[in-house]
Formats: sequence, C-alpha cells, structure tokens
Amino acid sequence: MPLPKSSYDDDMGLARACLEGKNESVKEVQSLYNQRLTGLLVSRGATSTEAADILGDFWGESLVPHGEREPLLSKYHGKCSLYTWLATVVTHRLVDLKRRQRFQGNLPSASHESEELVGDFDQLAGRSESLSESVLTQLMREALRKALQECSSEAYVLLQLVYIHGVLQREAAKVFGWHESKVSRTLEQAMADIASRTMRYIKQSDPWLDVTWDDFMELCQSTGDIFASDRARWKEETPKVTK
Amino acid sequence: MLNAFAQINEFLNSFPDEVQGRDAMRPDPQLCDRLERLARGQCSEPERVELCQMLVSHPEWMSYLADSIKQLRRSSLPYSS
Repeated sequence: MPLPKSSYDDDMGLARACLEGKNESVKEVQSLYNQRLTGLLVSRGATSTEAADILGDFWGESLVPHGEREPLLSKYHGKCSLYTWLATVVTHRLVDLKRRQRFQGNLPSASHESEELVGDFDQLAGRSESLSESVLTQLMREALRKALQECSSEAYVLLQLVYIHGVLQREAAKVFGWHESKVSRTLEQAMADIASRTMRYIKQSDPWLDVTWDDFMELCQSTGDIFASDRARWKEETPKVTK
Repeated sequence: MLNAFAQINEFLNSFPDEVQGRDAMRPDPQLCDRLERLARGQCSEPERVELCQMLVSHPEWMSYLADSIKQLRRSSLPYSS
C-alpha cells in the first residue's frame, strides 16, 4: 500500500529540483512567489525598493548551490508550505536590513571617541544564515518572554496545565476552587493579554514592522520548524562523548 | 494542530538555553504533599497563590502537579477500559 502523500510533497519536489540546479524549477519558484513575497514584504513595512533588493539577493543566493556553500533552500524540509518558509526567511531578512539601516543612521562621526564606535559596532547584528540568531528571532523571543512574565502566576499555571499538560478545564476548576466558566474566561483573557503585550513590545521595539498576531504565530511556527531541522542536523553532526 | 499557547511554548523551547535544567524532577516530599493537596483543590487561596508563584519559578515541577491531577481523574473513573 503506498504511503499517504504529504501535503507539501510537491513543494519538496520543487525545492529539490532547484537544489539540483534545474533552471526551469528555479524560474518556476520565482514566478510563483516573487510577486506574492514582494506584496508580503511591503505589507510588513518594507519599501518597494527594499523588497526588490531583499528578493534580488535572496533569489541569487538561496536557491542554487554556489561553490561549497549550501544554499539556504537546503534547510527547507517540507514541514510547512514552501511559500510559508520563503515568507519566514525573507521577513527575517527584512528585520535584519531595517536594523542595519537604523545602525547606519546612528553611526557616529569620526570625531567621536573610538570606544563609542566599538560599542555601536558591538550592537550591530550581521545578517545570519542561522535563523536562531537572527534579529527577528531575538525580538520575537524577547517579546514573548516579557508578555509571559506579566501574566499572573495563577493564569500562567492554568495555561500550562490545560494547554501543555492536557488537564481538563473542569479539573483545573476544582484545583483553583473556581467555577469552570471562570477557568475558561481566565484562559481566554490570558491569551488575549499575551497577544496584545507581545504586539505592543514589537511595536515599541520596531515601530515600522507591521505584523498581526496571526502573522506572529505563523512566524513562530515556521521559524520553530526551521530550528527543529537545524537542531536535528546539529545533533547528527555533534560527536558523541563516550565515558 | 497545536493551540496558540503550545505553539508559543514550542517556539521558546526551541532555544537550547530555554530548556536547560527543565527535565522532569521530583520535588522534595514536603512539596509533593503540598502539590497533591493543590491537585485535590484543598489549598487556601494564599497557599494556592504561593504554590503558583513557586511553579512559575520552577516549571520543572508543573508535570508533577499535572500528573497528580490526572491520577485523580483515573481513580474517579467508574469503569476502567
């Protein structure tokens, strides 16, 4: 009996063909997604020129092998659609670009003390191929941490019990001595608060970045999938220490 | 499909430094007793708040509380399948 087809098998096939250097596949990916990605970048805060620059670099570097360096597309493992994966990677690049622009705007003149220059350079993140180190990843992580820290301890425990450990809401109600409807309201309110605090923090940090909570969740999921592939590879490549 | 909170949790746990030391650990016997009382809904409000604060600082104990609650679920089932 044949194995069921994964929903992203076609995308995986297309990605593999690009990695094998098939020109028609590379053109197909670009013609399918370039316009959509341009629209997405502009909707998330890029100018048309920035979007064109990001995509120009991205298509040039990411789809086909260059020398010994593996193209970024080799990190696509079909855990989400190819479009979602591409959208995630280019959004990370957009945030990196905007942060670099902000730094360039703050670049001290030659008359400043050399220590100041070193300090500013220390704050500048170079573009990283590893999304776990990208500026957007750090921003998302920090925003979520702060949002979670502001939860009341009871709401946080409730979220963990119900959504992570599979405790039923009526069981949680008994633990807390509440009516089941209060548990439900508390969970709903806690999630709404996490969402609004996370978005507020992102707006404070990068006001130009235009993402909704749904976008944020999609970025969390697809970035997490990319980490998972990186982690699996890292584990394979790390030599085991034997006693 | 994961709920939003589980998705956030999974994202944060994908950083190695976030999960260090979070392996399930059994709390000391006195704390086990308090968590089991919490699971049975027998704690006063101040005690419950104190335990919740402790759980926020020690998320590795959350599993013990969740398991205690589920244990009660199993023991209260009229039939076992």
